[in-house]
Amino acid sequence: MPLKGMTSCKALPPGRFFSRVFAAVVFFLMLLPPPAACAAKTMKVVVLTDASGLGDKGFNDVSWKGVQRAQADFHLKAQFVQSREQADYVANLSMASKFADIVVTLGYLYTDAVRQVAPYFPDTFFIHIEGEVSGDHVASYDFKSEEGGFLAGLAAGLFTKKRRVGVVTGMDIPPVEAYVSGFRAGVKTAEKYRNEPVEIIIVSAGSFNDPVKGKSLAQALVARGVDVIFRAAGNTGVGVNETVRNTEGVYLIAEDLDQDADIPGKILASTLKRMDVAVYDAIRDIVQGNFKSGHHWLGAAEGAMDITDMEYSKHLFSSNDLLLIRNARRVLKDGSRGIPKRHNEVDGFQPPDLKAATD
Amino acid sequence: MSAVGIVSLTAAKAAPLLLASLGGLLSESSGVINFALEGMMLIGAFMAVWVAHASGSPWIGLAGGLLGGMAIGFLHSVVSLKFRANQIVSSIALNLLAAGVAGMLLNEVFGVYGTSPSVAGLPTTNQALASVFSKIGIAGEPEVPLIGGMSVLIPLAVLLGLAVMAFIAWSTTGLHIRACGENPHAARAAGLPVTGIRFLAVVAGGGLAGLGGAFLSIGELSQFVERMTHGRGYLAIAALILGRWRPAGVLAAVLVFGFGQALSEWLAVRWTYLPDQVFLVFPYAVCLSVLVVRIGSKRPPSALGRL
Repeated sequence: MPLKGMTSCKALPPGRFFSRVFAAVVFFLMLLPPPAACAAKTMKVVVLTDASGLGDKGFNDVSWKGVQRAQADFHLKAQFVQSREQADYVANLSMASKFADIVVTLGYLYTDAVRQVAPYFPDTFFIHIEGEVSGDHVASYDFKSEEGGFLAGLAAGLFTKKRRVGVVTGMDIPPVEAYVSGFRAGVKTAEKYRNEPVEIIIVSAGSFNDPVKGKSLAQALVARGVDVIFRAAGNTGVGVNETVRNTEGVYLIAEDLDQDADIPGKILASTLKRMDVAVYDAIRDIVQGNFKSGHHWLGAAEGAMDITDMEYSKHLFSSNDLLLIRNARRVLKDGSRGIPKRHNEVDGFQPPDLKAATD
Repeated sequence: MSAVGIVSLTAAKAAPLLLASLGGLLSESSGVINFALEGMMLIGAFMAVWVAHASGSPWIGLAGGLLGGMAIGFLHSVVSLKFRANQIVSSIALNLLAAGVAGMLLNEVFGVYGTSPSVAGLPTTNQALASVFSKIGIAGEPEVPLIGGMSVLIPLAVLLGLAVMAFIAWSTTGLHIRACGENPHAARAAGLPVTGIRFLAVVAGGGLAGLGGAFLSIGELSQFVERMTHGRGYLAIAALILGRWRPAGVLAAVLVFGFGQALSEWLAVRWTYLPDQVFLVFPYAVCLSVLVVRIGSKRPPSALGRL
């Protein structure tokens, strides 16, 4: 017995059938890529961005900068692939590994995918940012985000007039937890020098891609009397910016990339996470034939974690506060001082002596 | 933020959902399944920013959002009415297409990835009233209670929503649309151009959903961010089903969803000793529990999804 669908297909008049075929062909042609240009044999670099993708004014953009710099210096062919969601990570990574000589994966959420896929492609070099992956053709880098968070927290804690600061996070993944723990430690240090308590309110948007929610969460913080907001939220942070821009007397500390000029005078500072340096150096090492595999922790001591010079907001701080922040940067550069990476370590944290570090 | 804050926050959360689910209602009342609300909102959000950028006026941008949603509605009706493809599959394909096209256009038009440059956003209700007042020569600063400081699209969405509800429930054309959704053969026998009515209903519904998207990009924010609709189109479909395909039901459903989201954010900055995940789950827990209660028993339009 023929299926119902088949009979209805037979019943189509020929004209309609051909118009259907024609429409199907047109739809298909729309998807074909333009003919590929013949390229000379250069090293191919594929960068896999996390779900926020390029344009996040943070993590992905910083790393891509490093790749572009390497591309200019070493005649590579670099391209990026944005994954729509985490379920695509393994598939996209396998494709990229087959195609490219160097694969760069951005973000903690990629760690598992790299662990799974890398062993199958021993001839491809892998550079992974945030998260530990082993293998003699894999170099992975982690950043001491807590040090950036600490400087942000110190600046926010010293600055706040209402003694209330807020944090908007994206997802609660370990690098974000490190940022927030460092921030809390920084505020704790500021409390010591102000001699008064500063309250911290932390909210999570549950996503790095929901700017509308980021905006209303920031508004909720402002309504609770917060006057400095630190964000570690990817694209969700776009909405936080919107609130800060439109609200009198509320200031922002941004993450990962120097964004001070975006809202001059209202962004107190940005933490700097130099993923571009790590990516650039790793690619350079591969090109020059002295690739260093293994896991690397990079922090202020390596010049990979810092805060901006607060070009637009200096005048808002007292000279004493600026001195404390400067000294804190110096203490972190020494590398002798550990900052809590996990929430449960914050309570045991003893604020460093920043006055003594003057000389 | 006092308890009054929750009311205005609920309005801000519910307004884009209301526009989108009424768009869905228009389409589904006529008998065409519309799961493409997410794609319509996304393209609407993008087109609003693009047109506002090109024209310099957020109001023209709003019209752009309308057109963007209508474009997806047009594709959906061509694929599902002209080529008689499965309407659910067509919707899902359009959602995926919209996500890709929005990202591609963002790069083509603005030369950036991920986030568009800032454009002029729509004014708040107070600002909009003030400019109207000064044009017609009334002095004074208007102060609208509750939503005065929020986007002017909120009162507009409510007015438009009520108009659409009245249109579907009471107008002759609304009756024709519902007739197409309940019994297309009888409607055709009565001399109604069923396919034409469905076509218009889907396109108009797309326009409404596009306005919902524009609410996000130039009402709440002033730029487009890739995937910024973040599942709100699917939530609008849930509201449509929860509202039992009735205008008043849909309104109640989007208010419940909006209130759930507003309350969770309101609590998140107060009950800081609870883990974040509690507040992230909260609106969806509200949604599920309301679904379980099964208020009302109206079935979907009889001919939904059938030609």
